[in-house]
Amino acid sequence: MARARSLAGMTIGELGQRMGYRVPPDLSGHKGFVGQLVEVALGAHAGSDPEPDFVALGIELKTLPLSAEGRPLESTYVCLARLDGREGLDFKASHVGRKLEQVLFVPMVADPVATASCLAERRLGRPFLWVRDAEEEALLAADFERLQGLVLLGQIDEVRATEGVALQLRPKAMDRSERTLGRSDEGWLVPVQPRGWYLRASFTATLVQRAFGRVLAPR
Amino acid sequence: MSGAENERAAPKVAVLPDALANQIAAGEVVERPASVVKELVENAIDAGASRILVDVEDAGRTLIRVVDDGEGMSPDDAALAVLRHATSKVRSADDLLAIGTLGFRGEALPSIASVSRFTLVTRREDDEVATEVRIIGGAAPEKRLAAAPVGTRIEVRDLFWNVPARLKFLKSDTTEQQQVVDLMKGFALGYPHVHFRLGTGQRTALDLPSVRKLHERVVQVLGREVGARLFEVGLQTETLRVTGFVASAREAKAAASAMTCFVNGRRVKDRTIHHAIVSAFGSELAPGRFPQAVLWIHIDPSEVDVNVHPAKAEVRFRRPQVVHEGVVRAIQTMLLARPWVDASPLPLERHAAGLGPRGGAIQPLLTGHAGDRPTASRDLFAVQRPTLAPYAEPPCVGDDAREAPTDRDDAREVDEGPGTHGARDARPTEVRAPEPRPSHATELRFGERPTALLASEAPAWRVASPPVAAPASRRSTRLVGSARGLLVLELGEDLALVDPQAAVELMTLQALEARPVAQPLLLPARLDLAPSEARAVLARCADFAAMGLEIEPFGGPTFQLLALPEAALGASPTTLLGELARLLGRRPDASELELRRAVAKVTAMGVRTPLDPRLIDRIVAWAESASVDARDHRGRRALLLLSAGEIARRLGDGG
Repeated sequence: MARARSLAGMTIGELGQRMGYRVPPDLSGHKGFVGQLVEVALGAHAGSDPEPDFVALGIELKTLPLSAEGRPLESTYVCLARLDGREGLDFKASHVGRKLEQVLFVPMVADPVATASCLAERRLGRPFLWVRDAEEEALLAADFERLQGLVLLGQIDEVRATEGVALQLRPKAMDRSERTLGRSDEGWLVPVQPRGWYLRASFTATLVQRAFGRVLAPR
Repeated sequence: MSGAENERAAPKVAVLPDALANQIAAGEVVERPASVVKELVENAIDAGASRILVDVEDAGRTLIRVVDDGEGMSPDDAALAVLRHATSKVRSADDLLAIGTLGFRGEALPSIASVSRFTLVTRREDDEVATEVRIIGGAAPEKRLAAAPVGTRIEVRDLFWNVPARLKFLKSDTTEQQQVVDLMKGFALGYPHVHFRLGTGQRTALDLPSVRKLHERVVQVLGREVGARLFEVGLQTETLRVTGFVASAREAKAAASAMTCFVNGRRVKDRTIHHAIVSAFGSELAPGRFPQAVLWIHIDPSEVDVNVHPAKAEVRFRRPQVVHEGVVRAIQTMLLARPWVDASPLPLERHAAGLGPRGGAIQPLLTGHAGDRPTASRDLFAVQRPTLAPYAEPPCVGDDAREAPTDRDDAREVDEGPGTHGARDARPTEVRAPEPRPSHATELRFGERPTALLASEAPAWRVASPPVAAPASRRSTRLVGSARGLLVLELGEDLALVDPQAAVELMTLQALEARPVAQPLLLPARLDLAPSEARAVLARCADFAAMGLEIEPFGGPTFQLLALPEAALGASPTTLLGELARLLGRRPDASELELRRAVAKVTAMGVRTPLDPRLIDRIVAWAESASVDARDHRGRRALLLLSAGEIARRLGDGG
């Protein structure tokens, strides 16, 4: 945690320089750059593997892009969804459920005066550890059960991004032609568009608010 | 009145005669001889029969006879049973939510009677004589006494004699008879404890005595060869019990009819179950192929709606994903064990040999292969409950307590009570009271109503600890307006002017005295300090922590402020760090009170107009017990009180 806290206040440009990485001007074509940079800086490594980033601690690391006012700018990608039906309805035993047991969120705050696309100017906020409580777990599990149920029943194409209060299932692919194995409506394994599990921005907003009381302190 | 006028006056809408209405209803219920057999056998099963004998002649065109040894009907019930929408199985709309019988609509008998020469003979055990009801082509029923054994016999002769158009739609005798045979096999699989016999003319097409084990019935119905290729599956959860037999992917067929499924004893063609069976095989099964499977699913009747299809061939699960998962897990456990790798020629019988009397369907895989796949097996069955819910009980899996008689005698010679019936025993599961939710009144929780969010938001001006009580608390405080940056309050009979900035300073000071909790800042404030300031700040970090301030060195001359007490969240962290550093730079031994005053001062500097409504509320609440003598760091009073007496005096009241 102390190592993570030492990143707070640092810009992405400064961190890139410290770690010897060239920071791209923006994230287009470099999706996931900040997450990987922070992972390297903190010595985490798991990527989309089923285990958490900090395996020994059971902690998942997630960067959380925030506006200058401290509101999450987008939903937070958690992991790829298994669409082949090999994963059941038990949220706690699921890949996404294990990833979300304990999450170290590293906020990435947009500079209020810099242009939104200026990645190097974005500043890392104070990391905070989120350990889901029973109420949050019930909320996530309910979303998971409903969405995973559609996956199991071969109705993946009927899943909309508007579904899920805290957890979303959305397309996740480098391009539209990418395919993975999923269930057809008859139950056979057929190529389908990959999907990923995401935490809704409205859900992470409450976590930010709870962690910091208010969004941003006046400078 | 002319003929044309008469025609105009006659109503165009008319209520159909009962006979015609029944014939129309028969269009849905009675499609072919097999549909008649289905309805009559379902009634027999619902009547608790342990033997059901069916005879058809000319594939059911000239005669369909169903004889059972069920509980029979009283003379009055027998007369009512042939009326439309008369049923003993449903009494209220609530009953439809948990149907535990195969039939329930009360449509079958009148529909069948309207398109045939229909005879019903029935007797209860306590009745001395039987009752016979005859109906010809939907005409009025004729009732008379008759001699007959306990149970019910229904004869349907000359089906569709009065609607010859329907006869044209029937297929060849071979096809129609095969439909009846398939139907009876389905019933036999669904009700192993019932003895079924089907006679077709002079020969017996099926004779399936009751059995104690599901696998025995599978072998009876599907044959020893098919039985040898099927492997046992089983799973039980809180709401679901899945038992059955499934073949390996090598035995897959090109038609979905390879999968036979029963839900609470009812044979269904359910998309969810079919999908789950196919899904369980994963990549082992090529697209376009269907596994051979016979599955029995027992589920709480309230979890399934059977009233969704005219012939009740489809059902709708309340939570299809749960059923899906249960079926997938049951089959995958078997597939994981790969029982066909073992060289035994009769895997089904070998596995079944280890069946226990109750819930034993799961045991063989656990005991036989636990060593090979310990993790999968243990995980899978970890959810089992020690006792079975009533609905989870299969009609016959070697359960001694529910054993049906196993004999091969003629049904008419049987003098036993009604047989057991799985669906009949169906009772809704216990409803558990919801566990009390933990109270989070003081915490922000996702999904709370906006008002709750607002209440816990108030980020900049929250006070973590309650204000220190003043000696005298005023009542009925309310805001009446504002002027020149001051708030005008009504404090009981008195009036008060409040300086918000000074009030915030005093409120913060009060809160800091209560050793508040530190609230982390999203972005730390960093400042380069002069060496003397840095030394002094470093020396007082513990004092800062007691006030809820987290200040630490950040390398070289830089210090960072990481957290503030909630009461000071309105302060600019950078300004606050600078103010404290300057104070300690000048006087390293400044008292804790001076440090608190510095924090309160900077917090007050953060007050901006227009005032946040939540801050106003806090000031109003503070004013109720604030001292009129309290002053801020400038020596300025926060609150100026005009008592009712003074106002009256200045206004000259009372002279």
